[in-house]
Amino acid sequence: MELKIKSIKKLISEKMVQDYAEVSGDFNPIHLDEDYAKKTEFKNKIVHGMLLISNITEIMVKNFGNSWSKNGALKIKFRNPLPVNSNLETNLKIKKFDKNKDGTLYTCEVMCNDHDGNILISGIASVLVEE
Amino acid sequence: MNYLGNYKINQQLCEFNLNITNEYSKNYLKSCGIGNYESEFANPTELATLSLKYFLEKFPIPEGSIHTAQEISIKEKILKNKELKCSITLSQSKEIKNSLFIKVRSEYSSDENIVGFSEGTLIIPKN
Repeated sequence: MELKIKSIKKLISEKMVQDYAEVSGDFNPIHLDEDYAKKTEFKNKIVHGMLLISNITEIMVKNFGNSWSKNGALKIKFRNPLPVNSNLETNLKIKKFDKNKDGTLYTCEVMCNDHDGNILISGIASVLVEE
Repeated sequence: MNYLGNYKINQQLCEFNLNITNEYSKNYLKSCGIGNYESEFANPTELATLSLKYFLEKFPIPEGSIHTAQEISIKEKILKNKELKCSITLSQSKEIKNSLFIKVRSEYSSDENIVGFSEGTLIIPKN
């Protein structure tokens, strides 16, 4: 059984990156300083990895509601960076579900891609939806 | 001295209290472009983000570092506006060529019960 859920597409803007720096306290110049970023291997400012994974929260709450906040779990790898002001697509596939006395445990494959289809994040998210 | 070079594996790096307030959560969701979601419970990624903020105040990560993996798990639901204790330990540190491969684990507890954890993996340039 595998069930693919409708993806979420979003532009990750400079404003979002600046706001995320405030909430996370991560002011690393690779995210915020164009001149600094140009001298690095990335050549551009890149989006915080933890801002990218917030999109997994978005797709999980869209599909599993409050259960994600109550007991969600996530294990991911960062594969590639996303330049600031780029489009992001977040995908979710339900790989399996197990019913038990507490509810149904969903195990999902999660993936974030850039506009060209490059994988930025891949991993597993799981959530128990209580009966 | 390399980043966190004064610490041994499984040694606590720091401990602090954190509280996902309604206001913090609102700012978090806004910064991430997440609309139409409200909950009385803290979600996994905002929990890890606030913990990161406190950690970076004490241990700024050197420029040139790369975040390669992340794990977050909520074991028991966490009410917003409730103070949690967060204990951070160095769970792994390995030198590979000119880099340090480290894992930093955060354990969240409420009323002495572990309610969740997160673990970030970083590659840090060696001094």
